[in-house]
Amino acid sequence: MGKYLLKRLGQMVIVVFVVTLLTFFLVDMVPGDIVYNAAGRDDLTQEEYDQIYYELNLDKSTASRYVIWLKNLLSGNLGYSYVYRRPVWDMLKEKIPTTLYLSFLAMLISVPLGVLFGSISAIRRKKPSDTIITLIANICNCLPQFWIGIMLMLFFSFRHNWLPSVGFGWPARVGWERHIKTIIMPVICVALGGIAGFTRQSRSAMLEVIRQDYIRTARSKGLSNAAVNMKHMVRNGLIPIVTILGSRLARILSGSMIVENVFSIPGMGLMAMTSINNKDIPAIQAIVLISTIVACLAFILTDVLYVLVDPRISLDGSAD
Amino acid sequence: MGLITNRKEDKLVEDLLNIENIKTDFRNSDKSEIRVLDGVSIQLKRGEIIGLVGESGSGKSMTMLSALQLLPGNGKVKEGTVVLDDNGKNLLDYKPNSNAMRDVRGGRIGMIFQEPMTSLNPVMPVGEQIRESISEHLNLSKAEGKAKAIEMMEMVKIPDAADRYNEYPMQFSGGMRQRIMIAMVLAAEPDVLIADEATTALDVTTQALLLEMIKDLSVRTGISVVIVTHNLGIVARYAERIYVMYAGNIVELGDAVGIFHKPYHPYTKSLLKAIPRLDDPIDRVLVPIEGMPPSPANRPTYCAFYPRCKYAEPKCRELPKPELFEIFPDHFTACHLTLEDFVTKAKQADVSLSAVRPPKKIEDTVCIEVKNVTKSFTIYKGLMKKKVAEFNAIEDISFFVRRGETLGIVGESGCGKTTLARTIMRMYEPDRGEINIFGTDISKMKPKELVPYRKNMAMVFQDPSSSLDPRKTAGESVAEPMIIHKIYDDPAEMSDRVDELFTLVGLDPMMRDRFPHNFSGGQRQRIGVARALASNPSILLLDEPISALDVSIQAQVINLLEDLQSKMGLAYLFIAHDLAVVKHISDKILVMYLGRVMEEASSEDLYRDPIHPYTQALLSAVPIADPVIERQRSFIELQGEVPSVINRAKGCPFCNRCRYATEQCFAECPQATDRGGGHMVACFNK
Amino acid sequence: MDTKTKAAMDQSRKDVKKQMKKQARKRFFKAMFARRIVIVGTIGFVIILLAAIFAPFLTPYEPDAMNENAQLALPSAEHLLGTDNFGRDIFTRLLYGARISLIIGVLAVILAAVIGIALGMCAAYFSGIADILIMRIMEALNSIPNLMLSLALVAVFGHSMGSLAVILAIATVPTYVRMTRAMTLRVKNSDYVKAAQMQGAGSIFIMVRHILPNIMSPNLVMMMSNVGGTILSEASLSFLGVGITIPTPSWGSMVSQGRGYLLDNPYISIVPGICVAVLVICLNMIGDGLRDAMDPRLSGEA
Repeated sequence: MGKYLLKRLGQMVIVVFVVTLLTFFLVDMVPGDIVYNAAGRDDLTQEEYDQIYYELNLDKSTASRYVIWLKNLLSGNLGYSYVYRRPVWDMLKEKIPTTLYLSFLAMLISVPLGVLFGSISAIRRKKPSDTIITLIANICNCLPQFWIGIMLMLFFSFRHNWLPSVGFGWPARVGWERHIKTIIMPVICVALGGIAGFTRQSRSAMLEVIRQDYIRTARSKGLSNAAVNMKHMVRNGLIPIVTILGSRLARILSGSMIVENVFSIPGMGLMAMTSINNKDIPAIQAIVLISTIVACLAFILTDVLYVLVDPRISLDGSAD
Repeated sequence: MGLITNRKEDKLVEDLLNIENIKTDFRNSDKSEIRVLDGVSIQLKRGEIIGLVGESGSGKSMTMLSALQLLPGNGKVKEGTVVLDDNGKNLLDYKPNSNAMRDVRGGRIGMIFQEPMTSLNPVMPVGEQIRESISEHLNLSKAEGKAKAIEMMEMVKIPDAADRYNEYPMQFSGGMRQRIMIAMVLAAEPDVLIADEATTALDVTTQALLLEMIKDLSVRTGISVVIVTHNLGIVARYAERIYVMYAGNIVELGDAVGIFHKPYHPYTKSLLKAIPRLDDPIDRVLVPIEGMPPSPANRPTYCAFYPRCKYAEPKCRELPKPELFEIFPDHFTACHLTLEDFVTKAKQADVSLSAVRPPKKIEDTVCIEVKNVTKSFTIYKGLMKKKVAEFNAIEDISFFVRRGETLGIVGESGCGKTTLARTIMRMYEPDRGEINIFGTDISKMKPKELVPYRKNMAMVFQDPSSSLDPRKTAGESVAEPMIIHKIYDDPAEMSDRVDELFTLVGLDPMMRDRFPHNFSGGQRQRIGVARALASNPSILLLDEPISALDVSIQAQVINLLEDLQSKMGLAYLFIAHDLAVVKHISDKILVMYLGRVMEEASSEDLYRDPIHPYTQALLSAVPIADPVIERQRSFIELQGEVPSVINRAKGCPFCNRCRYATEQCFAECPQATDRGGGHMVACFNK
Repeated sequence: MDTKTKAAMDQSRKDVKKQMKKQARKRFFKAMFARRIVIVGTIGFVIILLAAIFAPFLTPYEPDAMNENAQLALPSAEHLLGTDNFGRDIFTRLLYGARISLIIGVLAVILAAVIGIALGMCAAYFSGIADILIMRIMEALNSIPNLMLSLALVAVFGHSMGSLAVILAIATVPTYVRMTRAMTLRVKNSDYVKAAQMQGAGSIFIMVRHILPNIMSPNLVMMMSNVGGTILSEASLSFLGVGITIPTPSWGSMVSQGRGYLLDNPYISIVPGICVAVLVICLNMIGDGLRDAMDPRLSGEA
């Protein structure tokens, strides 16, 4: 297990390295003169221009700038934001907890509900309850997240004035009541798509399990439906769901981007948008990189979970 | 129901399980219903072993699943009763998941399924799966349950049972998993054990071991056993009474000797004439049953066997489906024909059946000669491709095949027969040795140089459903070798040749534009043969060409192959695990075990006088479809199971399972020596 | 065989061929439209498609014609769904917006599939270094969250229709590569490919004759089910303001634009969102039908 984790971490280092290459050279291709972006204004004197030009190492080749960037990265320096005029890392330290908080709350709701609905749907296949669950899940899966957000806002904030449309704040700053009021709509908005996705995928995972021979074996032993479902079906159906969980976790920093935008929540998503719109290159690079590293960690976590739920993996040669 | 009243008169008291007149329907995706079982009745007495034989789709498994209310969601029992203990309660009146039904299912009647690989829950320790069954049906504490589970594992001879209690199914071999299934079922102390093709997926020797074990248990504990299988040999060896099923009906039933020696129903008769037997005389002609069993959707209202019946009379078509009636004492059949009908028909039929085997002409020309071929594989692991193991999949194999001759290669899983075939076909380059095709060694040739030699040999594969490209028409598949070898410039000429090949393998050329899924398994195998013949080869490698086919179809393909050999003087390498088939078709046989040749002899010599201990055990494991002969045979029990090639012993590959093994056997590998008349045996002691 | 009977045989063979084709087509459509919901989806999609194609004939307005006299008008006979803050007719903009969604969605999916299939086949067929290289890059690409990747790419390649299609394609390439690679490996190990190799067939022959035809149908199914997802992504991008350049009408940017006027004319935001959902649902239904028709294993399931 330890050896396996080490191996996966090694693979992750390779992937992250490839991602640094991709991000750096990609963002480096952003059109326009970044000197003006870095300065934050257009009326630069030649002297000022040259100073920034050299500060940014634009006189050196792209490859050597990459090496410098990578070196800084390894020493924990993610660069200096052109827009916020602060180190990018300081910015991220503020933004990441908000985004993580929002995403985790949403996952806490969507995973159990989704698996529950999916399992019910699979067990009661082709019965009315299955048809209704599947239909609703399919529709929810197709609704654009931003639209759900705006509709919630329209109903709860503008029509009825029950909930504030914007203004997220931590309880320490705005108090619990206000905090909860501001977080309800964003969380529902993120969770709804999650529930729909988990329902659909758990359903198909469970259906795949139901037709396995060992389910028939379990029935032939005379086990009750509940025992067959819990001990044999759900236990095996959870294995593919772990993968889905992993891919959701991988998007934990980016999945709420749209919602942050709709409800003006100062998280990573909103920061990403601002950086893109202002061509804040160090910030863009850092954000892409951090969200990728988080995604990789999520994939590793998935593998660990896999080993825990599926004895076949640790027994098979591939895992040791 | 004449059958039932007859039974009630004498043997009522002993009846344990009474399945009566079961009718089961399956719902299609378009909501239409198809009748898969059309009134099946089965009686089982206490302590009895019965056999339920039939081809795939005959409904034999469905009968058992119907009785236990285990049918898949789209199946439904429409009519019928299932009575246990003769207490008058119909099990089918219980709800499938009611307590009463669940007490019967697993508690009174246990069932073992075909696929050992998928029938156990992969994420639950095997011991727990056995214990689950115990705690469901027996009133035992958790600790007692565990103790009993271990006891059961010991009973089915799983070594180190207590230590392996917490292991997962994937840590066991197929044979071991099937033992665990048996332990699981028997742990609940049922009265009836249903073995649904329980040994079909296993090697012959393992199959025999398990069935012997079940038989012993039945004798010891008085449990009744239903053996559901397509294999007539197995029922001949183990069953006391036999039910023969065809197209959702029981067509004949009776005691084993009666069924095999006095079969009445034309289907039973034809089946016995169609299967090769180990004890067949050398000139035995197989009489195939033409056509195919009807699909459940198109079963006629008259006798379902009518279209394939050689004895059919016009009345068979006019009368409704025949009911079972007692033709001999305790021997029932469902046929409209009278004994007189058979006698007159048999006279005519015998004339048409008196066909002889196509003449054998073995010429002196050696088509292929393999000398000391060895092929090793290396197992790499990890990112750095670390070498973990190297083993010889085949070692020191030598043989030759002449024009018109058939060499049979038999062996159980892991014996290297497929590696050998692929090495000969130069999918692999052998490490050592020569492969001579008409005197030219191709073992070291480069792909380009090989092409002209490839034209001279072709292969027919095991699984006819995966050996044809599903997106190519039958004609396109057959034409492929001709395109590769650029044999014809004129497409019209090639098209004619495709027609010719279709006719040659007994297919209508009009069918060449159909896709593989439009053909039956037997027809697809014919297409496979046609493709192999397209480049006009003189050597044909047949890798298990009939093992995926139904028994009534196998004879068609065997006869076709024999016919083609006789016509075209082909040299065959016939690879199979079924000794009876190999013995029937081959002139000489090579017995392989873990990559080495154990014995080589003419097929007659090998059967009459097997010398190698492995060959002897193998032969004894193959059941012969004749209960009288079976009772005179003895079964040689081998220790353990076929090990993996990777863990092969240093000396003779067979040493650790051999009764006669001495120190020498463990130390060095015996070379094959001639025991007279080309009978080669690789053994120190025999 | 004389020429006359031969000609007759050829003719009857042709008839058989024709009939087989007809039967196959019939079976395909029967399987595809076995479920009512697929028919509904197809009808819905055809309506949206026709509306997009014939947009100029269905409305008297131009999509970006502003009307200062009719700003934020509520639905009326004149303006079916009212107007936005510039006085542009919402219904008209919806019709033209459908064009953008459909064109970008289809274009991106085709691009992604072509690149993905090519790379996947190469990875599987040539194995070794090519395989490792391609799969590692795909893994890296797959690790960057899609939306992040798209945003970064927009910053580089801009907002034109073509670049948006490329950007959305890049994000989905890894799924095609992975599936194609797995399928190719399976076909490569099948007995019919072995049979061809044993006759001495070369790589190109096997790729063109066996592998390509066999990997196409799962890829087609996946393409169909990806169109909807891509349209959703495009809408999200334009909602965030990094989609197609304003004032070109796009459903996502219309929703965004209406945010400020939810109390004046909520239809500006509501209707485009519903349009996205309906189009995506319809496409997914067709995708499900196509999967039923192409995968015999799944028929009767789900």
